Amino acid sequence: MGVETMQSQTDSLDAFPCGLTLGAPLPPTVLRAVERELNLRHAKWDTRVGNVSVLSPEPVLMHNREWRWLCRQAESASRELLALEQEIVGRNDLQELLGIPVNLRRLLQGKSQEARPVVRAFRFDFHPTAKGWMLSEVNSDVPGGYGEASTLTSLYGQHSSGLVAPPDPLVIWADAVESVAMGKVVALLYAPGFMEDEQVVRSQAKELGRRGFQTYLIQSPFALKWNRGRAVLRKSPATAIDILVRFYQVEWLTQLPVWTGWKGMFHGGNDTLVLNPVVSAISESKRLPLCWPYVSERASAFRDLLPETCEPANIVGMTREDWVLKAAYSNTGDDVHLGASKTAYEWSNLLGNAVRQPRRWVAQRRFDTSELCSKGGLVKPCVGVYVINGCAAGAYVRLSRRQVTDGYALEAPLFLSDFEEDGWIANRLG
Amino acid sequence: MDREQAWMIWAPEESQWGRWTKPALFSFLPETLSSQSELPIPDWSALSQGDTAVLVELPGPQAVIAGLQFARFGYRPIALFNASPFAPEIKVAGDGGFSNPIVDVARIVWTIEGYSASLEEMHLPASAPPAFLIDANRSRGPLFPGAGMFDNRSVVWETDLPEAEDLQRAGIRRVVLVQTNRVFRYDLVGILLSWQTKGIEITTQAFAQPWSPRKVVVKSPGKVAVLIRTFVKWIVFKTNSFGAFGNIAHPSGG
Repeated sequence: MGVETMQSQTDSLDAFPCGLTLGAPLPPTVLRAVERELNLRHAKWDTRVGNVSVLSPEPVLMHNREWRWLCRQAESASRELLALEQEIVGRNDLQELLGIPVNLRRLLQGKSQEARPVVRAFRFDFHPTAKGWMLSEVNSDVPGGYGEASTLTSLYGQHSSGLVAPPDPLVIWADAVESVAMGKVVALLYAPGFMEDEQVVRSQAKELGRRGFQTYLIQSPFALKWNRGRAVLRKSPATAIDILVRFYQVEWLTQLPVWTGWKGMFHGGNDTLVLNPVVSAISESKRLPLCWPYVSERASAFRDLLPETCEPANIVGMTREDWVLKAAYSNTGDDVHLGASKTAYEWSNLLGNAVRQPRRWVAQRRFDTSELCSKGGLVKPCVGVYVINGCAAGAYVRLSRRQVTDGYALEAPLFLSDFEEDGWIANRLG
Repeated sequence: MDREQAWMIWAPEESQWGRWTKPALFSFLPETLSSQSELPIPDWSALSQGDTAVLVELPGPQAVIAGLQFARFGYRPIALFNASPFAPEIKVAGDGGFSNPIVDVARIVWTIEGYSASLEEMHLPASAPPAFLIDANRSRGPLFPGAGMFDNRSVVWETDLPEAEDLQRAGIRRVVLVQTNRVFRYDLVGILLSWQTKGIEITTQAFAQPWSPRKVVVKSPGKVAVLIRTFVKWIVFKTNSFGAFGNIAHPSGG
């Protein structure tokens, strides 16, 4: 590549800070056909909140160079998180600092390196800002969005020629599971009543089923009986489980009665692998940055991407618009409170509550996500990059109309290319 | 008729209410629907009024049939069943699971399958007021299900039904709750209260009885009831993302 070409690429990228833009929208009739396909054949049932579609007509386009950079950062951060987990797993004081429930802390003690190779999946939620990419959080306990990142991208791709998709995280995840499986029987655990969760495990089960795995969906740990690291389905005939896919938040598990047998998962790792392993509760805590002063792992990639994080008590009296209060364990934008969107009275109450229960909350400096101009108005992208067993593996992209990426955010596929070659001049970051 | 056609009949794009139909059950219909059944002619009648919406809360298949009978009186049935059946006969390829579901959702699927043609033949106008269909058995079952049971219980979330403003914009001033017994289940109370507070008249009507909806005043549940429900929700249904009872709720996935 000549100097002139490189200069041209730099100029072009300046027009797309963070290398993002939106592609041409699917025509409404095609979008509805994609939605029907997702609903009726791919177990993706939450394409609407109420009567409003949350499928973005426009795909998100990312420059290859930017994608490679995100992948490197996410891979580095995942290695750091694994090292942090190993360091913290033996430290009760740090687990307490993280807000890990006391009954879980007892079980984590001495739970060090797994006896067998496991599958570790992370999803790092990146946001473009005027200062570059920022990470709002990592989902290391029960990262979802596989079906969307996989099927949605595939279906859009069928209607848009020339678009190159990043790797399919569902396929890579299933490859990883297959590589560590000692047998072909998998149980997938999720909480009852949540079709959003059921659809995630159904997409995983379907992918495993294609590979010859026998899959069982279960809604309670009580469905399993544990004996020396081996889980068996409590049904007749009893079926031994080789792998337990846990799509059930670890902090929810700790709230279940003991007799449900949820603690058995902590004795896995021998005959029945638990994925993700429960030690992921450490890196899932949004309070993890508060451990920096007490650990030897520098975690520089992860640390540099995260906004300033501190105890709620440290922000008392500060300008509320600059801060966000997050629950130590929160998902999909629940229990995330932006000071800017609260009245002084509301913020005072929230902050007071957080200060009284510091282990349950953390304060994070607010950052402004840059906006993309979509057909439906300005949207804030969140690019959730998967890292599976150390390698970046596709992304789950959401476009939020608000600062917090929650269940109302639009879901969009991600495609990669070199902008100038494809003449992308559509939309720009605001 | 195939699965997609059935979906289009139950969730027509030309109706503003069609977009509320929940797709989960329809994904369990066979690719090609089997022979259709004849819809029983109701021995009861209902008055169709443009300013009235119906909320049918009856045990699964009965809710479907009642919804179709309401269609004879000019209402558009909107299926809000949001659960999976998991009967082995309709398992999708690659899935596995227990064949002992707590809620008999499979019969709802079969009922929808059996009467889709009947609904199509009615040629309801786009302006037909809605008859929202929910399963009265949706969350029934043991507090702690036994091993080997497929826990497919579900709840109605606030976002599953239109807000009062949506109803009012469509000219709906009154909702008739059709049940066999007048019980306000915990997940509906918040929705009914919200409608009532914003000016929607709530009335109740016993199913298959002479049409005479009675106005009721929905009250906030007492402290004991709230405690019991909180406990049940805590144990069975973790607080989810979009939440009933004003809870902010969320699925597991981050």
